[in-house]
Amino acid sequence: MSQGGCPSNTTAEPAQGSGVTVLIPAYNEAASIADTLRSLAVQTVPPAQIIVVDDCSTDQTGDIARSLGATVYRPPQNTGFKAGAQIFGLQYVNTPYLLAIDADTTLAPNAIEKILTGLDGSDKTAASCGMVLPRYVSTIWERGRYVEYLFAFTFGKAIQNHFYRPMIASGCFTLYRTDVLRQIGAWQPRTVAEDLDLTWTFFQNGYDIAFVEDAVCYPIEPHNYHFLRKQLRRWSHGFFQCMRIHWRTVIEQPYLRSMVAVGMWDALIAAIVYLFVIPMLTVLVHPVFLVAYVIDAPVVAVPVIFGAIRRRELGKALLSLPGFFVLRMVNAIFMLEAAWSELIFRRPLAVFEKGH
Amino acid sequence: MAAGLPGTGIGGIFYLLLVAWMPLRELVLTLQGRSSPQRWRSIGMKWLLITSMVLMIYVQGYAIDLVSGWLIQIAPLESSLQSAGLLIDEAWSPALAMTPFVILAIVLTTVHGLRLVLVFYPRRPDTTIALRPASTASVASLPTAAAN
Repeated sequence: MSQGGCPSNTTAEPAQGSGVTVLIPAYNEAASIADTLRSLAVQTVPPAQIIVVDDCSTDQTGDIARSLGATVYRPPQNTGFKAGAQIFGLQYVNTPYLLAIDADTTLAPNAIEKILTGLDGSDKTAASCGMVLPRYVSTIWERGRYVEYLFAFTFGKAIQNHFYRPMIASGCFTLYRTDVLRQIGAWQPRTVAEDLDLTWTFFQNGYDIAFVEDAVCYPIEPHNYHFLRKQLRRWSHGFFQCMRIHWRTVIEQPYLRSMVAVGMWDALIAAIVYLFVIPMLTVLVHPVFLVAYVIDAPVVAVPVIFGAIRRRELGKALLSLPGFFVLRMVNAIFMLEAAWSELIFRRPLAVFEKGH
Repeated sequence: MAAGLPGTGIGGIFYLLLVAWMPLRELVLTLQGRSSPQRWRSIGMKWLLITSMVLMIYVQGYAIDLVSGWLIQIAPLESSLQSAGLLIDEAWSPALAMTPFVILAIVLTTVHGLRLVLVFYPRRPDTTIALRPASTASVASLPTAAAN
């Protein structure tokens, strides 16, 4: 069934098969949405329904999605936030599970099958998130992000998962229990990091989240600084916006409080060290202090190599390693700027700009 | 999105310690019947990972020690290379190695202290954001912009 025009009140098709509805918010995604839908068509466990919320695109996003078999809904006006489009689409979901993915994200052929295993256990587990790897690894920014993801998902997130507290269920690929999602209020368009906000809202309401390393998705990551800047601004501001809203929840959650505390420390103090202390020491004391920028390279490389060997991508990972250290410097700048704007000047980022 | 800067600062040490502690915690869960062979397998893999990381730290420390000694001996007297060797040699001390652990202890103690203090201050209703029905009406308050 295809549905166009605005607004639409048509109900979705009855639930069937896997019990999974895929919900894809999209704004001007004509260049990428076909790949996303094709990757859904070849899933080992096919979804019962695919809903694309065409957020009043000015390109052919809706037509392309419709031609590839998706059910397309269009809100009366552009919602302004990804969360807005997702909330709009949620009313048409009538399956027990909802898989939220981005319109620029393709899935591995067994991704749905694998991510469903995350919700096999306790009813307390409200969501299941998967592994994220950049689809294209070519520019220095994509290479940096590739290493960053290999490191973060192989090391940090895997450990967080052991305590049922992944710090974030990535918005580009997460499976939810639909009833729980509705019960807690779903995505809230009050921050620019709706996925982090939702993750911590689940924890606040006593739910767990699972991370399934074998469920892999491939988003398009920023290939140049122009898009990277938008993405990093959104992520860093979103983090501090969520901290302002959820600080009490975070402090009350076992393990999460410690993970966020050390994350905050590293984000702020390491950024200051990278941007101010090391350059000063280099200029005033000795150039040997420049080594500090890459002193942890061997340790970072270990989980990256572990993750890469598992995926038979060792050469690509080793070649991409230098990009990680460049990206880390850029991360440092954006984290400090976000902390300054959000926490000190109370000037929140209010515009959601896509980063690819 | 990732909070913080992966691979830097005290975060890495925190996660290493967390993995080191996992078997003890899992033992308690096993006795309570809340564990599984899968979880033990997962702990084994994480131990392999952190053992490799600790080994790498040791090898790196040894290599730095070797290089600084070599610079001091081989580099021309009072040259920049020799002073670099001396600087590394002096900086590479047990006190420096302990600093991240001390900082980690302070950060964790602070956050746990804050948690204990908050027990005496009930959560204000306006900070509770759950159970709000999702509706498109809330979208109306958004600034208009390109959405993804």
